[in-house]
Amino acid sequence: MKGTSIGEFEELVLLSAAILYDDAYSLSILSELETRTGRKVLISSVHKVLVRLEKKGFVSSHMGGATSERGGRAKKLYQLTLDGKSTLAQLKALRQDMWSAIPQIVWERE
Amino acid sequence: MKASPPNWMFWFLRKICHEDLAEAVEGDLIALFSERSTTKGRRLASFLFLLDTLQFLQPFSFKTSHHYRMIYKTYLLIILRNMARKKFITAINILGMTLAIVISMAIYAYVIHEMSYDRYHTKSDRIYRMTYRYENDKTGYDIHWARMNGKWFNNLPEEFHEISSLVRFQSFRERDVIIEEEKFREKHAYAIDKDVFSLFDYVFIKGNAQSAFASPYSTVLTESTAKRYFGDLDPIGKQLRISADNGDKESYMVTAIIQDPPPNTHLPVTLFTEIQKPEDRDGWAYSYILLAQYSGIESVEERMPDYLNEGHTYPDGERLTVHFMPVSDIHLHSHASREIVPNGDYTYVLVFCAVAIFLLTIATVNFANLNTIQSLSRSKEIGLRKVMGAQTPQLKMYFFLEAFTLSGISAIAATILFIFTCKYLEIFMGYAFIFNWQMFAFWTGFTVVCVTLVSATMSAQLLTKGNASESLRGNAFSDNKTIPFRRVLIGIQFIMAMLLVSCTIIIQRQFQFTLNKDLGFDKEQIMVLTNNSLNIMRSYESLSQRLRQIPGIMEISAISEIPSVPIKDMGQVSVAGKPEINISADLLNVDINTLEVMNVKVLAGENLPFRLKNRQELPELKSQKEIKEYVMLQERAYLINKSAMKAMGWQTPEEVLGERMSWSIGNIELKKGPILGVIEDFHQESLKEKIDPLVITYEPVWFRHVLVKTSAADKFQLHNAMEQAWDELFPDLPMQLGYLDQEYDDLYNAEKKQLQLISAFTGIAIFIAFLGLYGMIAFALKTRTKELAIRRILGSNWGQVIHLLGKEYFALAGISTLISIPLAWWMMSSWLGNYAYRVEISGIGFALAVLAVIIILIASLSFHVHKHRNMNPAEDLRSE
Repeated sequence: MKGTSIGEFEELVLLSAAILYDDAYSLSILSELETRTGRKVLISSVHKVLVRLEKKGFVSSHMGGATSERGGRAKKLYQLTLDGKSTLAQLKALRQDMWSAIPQIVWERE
Repeated sequence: MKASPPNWMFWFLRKICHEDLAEAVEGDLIALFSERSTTKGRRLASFLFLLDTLQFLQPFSFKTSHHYRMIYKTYLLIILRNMARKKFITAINILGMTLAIVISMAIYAYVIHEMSYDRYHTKSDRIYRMTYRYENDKTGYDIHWARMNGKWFNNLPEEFHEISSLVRFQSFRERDVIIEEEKFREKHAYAIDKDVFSLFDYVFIKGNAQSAFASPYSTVLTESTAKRYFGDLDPIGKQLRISADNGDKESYMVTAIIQDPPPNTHLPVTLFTEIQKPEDRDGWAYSYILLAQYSGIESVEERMPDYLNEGHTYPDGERLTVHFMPVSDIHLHSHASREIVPNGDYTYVLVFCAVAIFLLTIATVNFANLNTIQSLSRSKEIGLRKVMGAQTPQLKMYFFLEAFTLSGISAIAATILFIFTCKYLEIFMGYAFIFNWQMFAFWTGFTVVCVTLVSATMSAQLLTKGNASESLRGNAFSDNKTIPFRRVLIGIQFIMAMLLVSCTIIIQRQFQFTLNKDLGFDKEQIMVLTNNSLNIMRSYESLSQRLRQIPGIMEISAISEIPSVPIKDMGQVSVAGKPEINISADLLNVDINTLEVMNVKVLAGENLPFRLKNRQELPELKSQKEIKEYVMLQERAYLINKSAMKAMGWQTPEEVLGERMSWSIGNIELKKGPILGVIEDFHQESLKEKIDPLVITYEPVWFRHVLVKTSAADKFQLHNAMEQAWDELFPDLPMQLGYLDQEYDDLYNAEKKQLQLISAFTGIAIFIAFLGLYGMIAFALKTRTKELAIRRILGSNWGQVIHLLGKEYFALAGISTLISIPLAWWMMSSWLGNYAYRVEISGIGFALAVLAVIIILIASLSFHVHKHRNMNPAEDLRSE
């Protein structure tokens, strides 16, 4: 869906889900985020964003992987859809373009 | 078994979250819980579990949001439409509820304020005040002093390991403060022990606790005091002269400024000086102890009687006890003699709480009643819904939502109203409320939730009875099972209304009585120069002469304690030749003309003779000992009041004349002298107190106030002239001028305000109750429109219909009267019991209550009849 932009946090969650591919669910994404960004994240925020992303069509989910640590409850595992992957790629391309458009002098000057 | 989080939280999660999410979220939280249990401990893990759960109270996670949301949306729409359609009844409901909630908020604010006194000190749970109680069973003497006397207890911190320090507050009488040319008289300017800062919390704005009393003759001022003395200039380092207890002026330097203590303390402070010498730590002082950590006051209290009585033996029936009261209890629970400021009363807190509960109950019952009585007009709607498939829980949810919406609107309106009127309430009460927002919000929220739950449940229960076809037919409220219930509801409304009216009337009567009762003396047109030290009163005669020269001043007199201030000496009276007479009485010292100035009635005998004034001029008396010796030497004659006469066992004033008596207190014993007269009782204290036996004599050493009888002249000019005269005689001492009627009225201020508040609240409650009553009757009649129409068709005329209706409702009113009158009687008797002088409960209150209710009944009946009078009964029947 061209024209649907996603926020910074959503992008981070999407990226984390991509990184974790087979094991992308709320808790693993949470710890990935906290490790990489150093920010404290609430579990409900992660769930909220994942639900939103799913509504937007960037991820899809299925239930699986119940463990005893989870009291026997299954996890909601997420994986990126084609749309999701293309959005990420577009974002990366956009960033890349703008980065290379920055004149060298900006980095050299104070 | 591995530790797991509490089960109810799972239930909660399942209720909130929709299916897809619920399991995953549960799993997450369980995993987190086990991890946290090991790293942070089980309790923290559970707590965090709860917090995390609450996070999911967000829209994104809600259950099958689609269809439920739709339903709630439509419900809300219907509810609002219903409310708009039935504006009148809705308005009554909301109005009643809002008023009740606003008043409850005001009461919470008041109660929270009152209960917060002195809790702001960090160590308040370890600070106790020592008080002194002396009892004598033989004379019935029982006096509890708020302050301690002597120096025997200065060593308590050494003798008791539980007590870490003891602080004395001395110089509690007004002190003169002189700064260059200006003179001030300060109340609450205490001489204290340095340790005071380690007991009580005082916030230092300038300077600090350690250095404040580093050098002798330092003084610490409060912010407002400093402002009064020095304006905006820096007060630190400035010199002022402050009077000591014996009148001598000493020079002090300001070393620190502290913030004004907040209004919720029993100990207001304007200024501190340090007790300069250890030997000065003697005499009367308000004394506070700090308990050591982990110590209990019980162990101190246990050992105290032995410690106290070491080396003393008291005669039989006499007891001296020391009591400790936690500092935060003083305001509400202490009623000793000579409190620093008049304390509040726990009874009032309870009364106001009861008022709040009562009001809320009325509003809730009103609410539920009104809702229920409307049901007939809704029964078709209900029936239709049932037919369309609504289940009972859904219907209940609907009515619940409706009640909730109404309460919600009321609560919001109430909050807005409260925020606006808070200012006025504070001005009325005379102080700013100390707001503990959390407590306040908690109790208010709790109230609203309770009220909503109760009324909503009641409505929901009642309105969803019966099956679909019954409801459709519109019979839900006319069958035999529910008619009595409806009657009960109306009956309850009757009772509430009558109770309120009768109680309010009785309260008002007591109020008027208190304000207008003859006090036994004239307080009008008398000014008072108050609180003069012995230094000033030594020159009383010259002052008197000088003041008489001022036009507008009719007479000058003096007195030891002005009416409106309790005396409570409780000295011993003994009568020559009658050893069986052993009563306690207060002593009042008056000038020869005082009784005349105050217009006190003499029952028998005559006034004190002039010859008593023939003594040598008052010598300079510096110490208590010198005063005592002087006073005991003088010739005496006495007057007593009627209460004293009765206490001594005499029936008529004439019997008393000529008997010889003496009065003593502690180790001061006045000479025996004849009783020359008996005067009528007058109210030295408020009407709440019984009049004590009083002994009157002439002892100028103990005069403290000068009474000035004036003609109704220009007060301003008079004031100036008196200032001038004063300055001539006492150039460096401030004058304090008051009006006797105002002093007395101030006594009643707190009382007055409480009474006014109660009157206002009961007025509003009456309004609510009557609104509800009218609404209910109107609607009850409406539901019977068809019934009445049928009766008319079958031949009754309006007269018979009215007769029928009237019979039913009047009978109901009658039963309610039978219940409400005894209830009101009981309530009012207990309340009036607080007053030593009070009105009797007469029938007026009850008669008016019944009358009011009857008027409302007739009004609603006639209104309804009028509406339907000219209508064709067939039309009424046709409205299907």
